[in-house]
Amino acid sequence: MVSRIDKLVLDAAQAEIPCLSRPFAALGAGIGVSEAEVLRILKAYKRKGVVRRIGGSFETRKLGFSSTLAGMRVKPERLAAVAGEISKFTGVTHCYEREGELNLWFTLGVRGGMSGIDNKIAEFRRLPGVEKCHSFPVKKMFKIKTLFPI
Amino acid sequence: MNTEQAIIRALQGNIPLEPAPFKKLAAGLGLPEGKFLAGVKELKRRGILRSIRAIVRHRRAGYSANAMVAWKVTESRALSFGKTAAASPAVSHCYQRVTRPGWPYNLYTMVHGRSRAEMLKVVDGLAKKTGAKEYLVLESLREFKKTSMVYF
Repeated sequence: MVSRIDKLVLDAAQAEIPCLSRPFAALGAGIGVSEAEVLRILKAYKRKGVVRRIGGSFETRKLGFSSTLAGMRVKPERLAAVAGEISKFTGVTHCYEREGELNLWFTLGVRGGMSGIDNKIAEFRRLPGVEKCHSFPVKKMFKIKTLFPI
Repeated sequence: MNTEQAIIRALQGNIPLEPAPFKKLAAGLGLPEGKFLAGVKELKRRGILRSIRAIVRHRRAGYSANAMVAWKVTESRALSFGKTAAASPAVSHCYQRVTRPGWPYNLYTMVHGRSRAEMLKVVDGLAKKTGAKEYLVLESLREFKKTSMVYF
């Protein structure tokens, strides 16, 4: 069960951890929770795996990276092997099996221009069992806001 | 590696959970805390750093149902669709993407709910509100990888 204080801390920490010398004290001050309590709660939820990471969230494009979302059609018996092979690459940050015609989806980022993405996609397309691999780069971003009220 | 890259590297993982985390990260780079914090603020000002924050595994935070929904929206309606979808608190990501032969879907939303019914209700609501009739609710069956980008 999540207490009211846990919820306050997790919601505030998902919004932003201020860039100050004592960020957890400042975060706590805004919601009436002590620095020690903020740290205790964040550590506990990190240990439980509810919090995946506490750190910087970057604008990939502004760091000179290109990215895409790709959808593949993979023979079912090769799906796990292909997913494992693709996931070995650092630039693949998300990889999911999904229902439908395209059954394996992943996000891909590489340093440099879109040609690097196209090359990597071409490489993945050659993996045994891959029948189709489409890359769907972004034309327009409308929203990225991964804040989940606890 | 320059100072800016070193700061990005320090922040792309986890910041230490202790009272003065930036002091510790700065010390690791041989920088005074003030210089590190100024560097972080500069990255924010330039829009390179969105924010420093906690990233939650939504499934473990009670949002057990989520789907990527691929929508087929006419080009002239894409902008208004994007704005409507973005306004929904249950939508975490919304992008317009290129289409491919045999794959006419051009808008993508990540939709979350505390139950499958709740998630599907959001999708249905979006379809009604925007008039979009062709869409695929692509629920995830298996997670193979979910991590954050490593830049440097």
